[in-house]
Amino acid sequence: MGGPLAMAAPPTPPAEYQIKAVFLFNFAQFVEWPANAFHSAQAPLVIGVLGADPFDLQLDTAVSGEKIGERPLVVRRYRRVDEIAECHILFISGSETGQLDRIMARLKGRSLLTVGDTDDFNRVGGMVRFVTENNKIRLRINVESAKAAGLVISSKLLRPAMIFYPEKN
Amino acid sequence: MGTSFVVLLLTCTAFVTYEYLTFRRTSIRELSVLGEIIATNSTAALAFDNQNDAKEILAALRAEKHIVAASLYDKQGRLFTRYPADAPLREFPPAPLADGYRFAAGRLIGFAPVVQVKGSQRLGTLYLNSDMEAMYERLRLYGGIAILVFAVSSLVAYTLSRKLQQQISRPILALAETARAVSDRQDYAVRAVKIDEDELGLLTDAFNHMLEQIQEQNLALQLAYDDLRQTQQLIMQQERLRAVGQMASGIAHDINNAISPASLYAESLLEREPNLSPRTRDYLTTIQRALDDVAQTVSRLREFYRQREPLLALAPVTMNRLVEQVVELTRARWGDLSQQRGVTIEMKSELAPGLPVILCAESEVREALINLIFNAVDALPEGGTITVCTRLATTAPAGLKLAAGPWVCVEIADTGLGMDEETKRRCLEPFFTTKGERGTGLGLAMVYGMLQRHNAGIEIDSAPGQGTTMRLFFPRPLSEVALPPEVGVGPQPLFALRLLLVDDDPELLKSLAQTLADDGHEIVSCSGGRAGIEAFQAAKNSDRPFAAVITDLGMPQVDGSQVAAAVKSVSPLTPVFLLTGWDLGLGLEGEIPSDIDQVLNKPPKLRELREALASVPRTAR
Repeated sequence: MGGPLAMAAPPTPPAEYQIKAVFLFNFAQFVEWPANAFHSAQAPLVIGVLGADPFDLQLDTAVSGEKIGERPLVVRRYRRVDEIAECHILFISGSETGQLDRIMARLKGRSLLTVGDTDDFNRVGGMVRFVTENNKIRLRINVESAKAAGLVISSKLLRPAMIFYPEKN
Repeated sequence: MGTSFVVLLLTCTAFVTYEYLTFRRTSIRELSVLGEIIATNSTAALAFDNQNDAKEILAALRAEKHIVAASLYDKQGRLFTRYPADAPLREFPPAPLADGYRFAAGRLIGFAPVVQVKGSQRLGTLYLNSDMEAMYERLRLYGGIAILVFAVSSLVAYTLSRKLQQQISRPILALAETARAVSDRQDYAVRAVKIDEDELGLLTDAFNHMLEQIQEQNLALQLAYDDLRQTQQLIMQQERLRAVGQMASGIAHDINNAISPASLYAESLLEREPNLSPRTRDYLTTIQRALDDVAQTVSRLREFYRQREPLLALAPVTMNRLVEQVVELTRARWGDLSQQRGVTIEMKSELAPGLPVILCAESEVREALINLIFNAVDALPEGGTITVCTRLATTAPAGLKLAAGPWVCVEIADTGLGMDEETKRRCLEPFFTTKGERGTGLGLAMVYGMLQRHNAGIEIDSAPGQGTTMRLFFPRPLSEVALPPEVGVGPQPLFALRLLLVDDDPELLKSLAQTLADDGHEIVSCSGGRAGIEAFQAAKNSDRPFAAVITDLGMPQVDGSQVAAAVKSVSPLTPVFLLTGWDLGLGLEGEIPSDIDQVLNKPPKLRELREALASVPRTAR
């Protein structure tokens, strides 16, 4: 057992999106949505993917069989922003980079945790951005836009994350 | 004090034991709380795979010294983060074990789930390893506290007990000391010192009060005891005297019987034979004086059984005359006999004139004075001076319980050996003697008996080598008394009487018959009471009855009182004279029986016989 363990320097790092899939699921545990974000108490928590799906089936695997409290988890995939109905965590694929401003404008006012991994994601109002540093995936969070969306992000989530300050950028 | 220590020790032990027992539970609870906090804080780090963050969280355990190791495992059970960060990996379990906390190898280890949302997916596992140093530390602390408490409490208890000892033990110890002193020395005058006005003070008071009562009762007991002892001694003394008296009276009887014929013949010869040669007369006189002395000696024996004679015949006596008689009577002892031993004793008498006449039993006082002079002679083995003096004493020694003075005092002083304190104190006791075989120890006892019967007292002055002075104090009669006329010689027989003599002693019978026959009486002698009664009855019925009967008292079979009763039953008017060598006190209980007209002592004296016979009524002659 002496040698470096898997996560220290994985020989074949788990596919980047496998980790991101898990992280997406984990967000469900550290974020609180307003009550009106769900149509009922047992309504599923929906994790959506907008644009080209980079997860393959890994997101479905990560979510499969899991529950947050009473709520089952459901994965939905959207090609256009208009298709998004009841959704709680939305991963905006890199395929949508060109029209991020438009998408953000369309989602404004909805209690929806937006997650992305493109460079300008936070700056255009995206709430959580995956940042890859030293082979590690880190989080950068735009607290202001999450607050504006009526979401409460657990301070615990903020601990390991980097905070995005709009005025700085 | 000891109790305080034990209680303290038990309390501290219980306290520490309780701590030890509860500490395990407390440790588990504390560790689980800690685990929960760390686990809760670690959720995000695990969820988002942030080892730095996890490291930081675990680093906070630095504040908890007893946590020696901690680590987080990810969802798959792989080691994620460890604390301390530089600890070797072998210190950590390779994979998490079952959740929960347990003691193992002196450590408390625990595994706690890391869960962000209850009921949802587990994010990982927290491992905590706590050594028991804290427990030992706490036990040490408690032990230290216990020892400190114990020490301080003991000190306080000791100080208090010292203080209390001052207040409680000291008075009690003082009481005990007093009690011991009392019982050791039998000294009930000792008192405990009262220290304070508290309960112990009351106890001391009660104790002292008790001692007071004991002292009083002890004194009363002592007095009662002394009284009892004196009474006992008196009774013993009287008992001894009674025993001696009984023996003496038997001897007296025999001696009196034996000397009666000699006495009668001597008296009779001296009186009736005018032609006796001077030598014969001289011899007879000597014989008679000697017999008188014998009779006197014998009669003196009676002193010992004659308890305070109820019929003490008191007669007026001039003390000076009595002293003169005594000096003469004792001349043989201090005069001739002493000279024969080559010793000179000078007798001086200094008699105060005009002394009041006293009432006394002359013979008793005379015997007492003779005794005292004999003692004085005995005290002068090398010769010396005896001084007898009389005087009127206006003061008497305080110790003597005498009637009011002045008193007639007779003083007999010698220049002899003297007595030491012990002898002086005991000399009046019966059977106490310094003369060895020669003394009976009864002389001074007799003197003392006489003095008591006369309400008189004695004072003894003596010291070894300083001689002895005896002073007798006789009370004066309440009113002056006159001396009776001189008693003359007995009357000559005027009438010849027919007399019946009854005795069991043939010698006495013969001598008495002859002597009375010489007086002109007609005598019939009978040996024994039965013969006497028969002779009297026979004569009564004849024309020559007896005018009087003289009978012995002590006779075998029929004694004198029976003879008297028989005589009186047939002839009540015939006088019966009882002749006895017994003392009246013994045979007749001091009462002269109604059948007896008069009692005559042996040896009989002619004069007494004549006086008795002179009283025989004429009608019976």
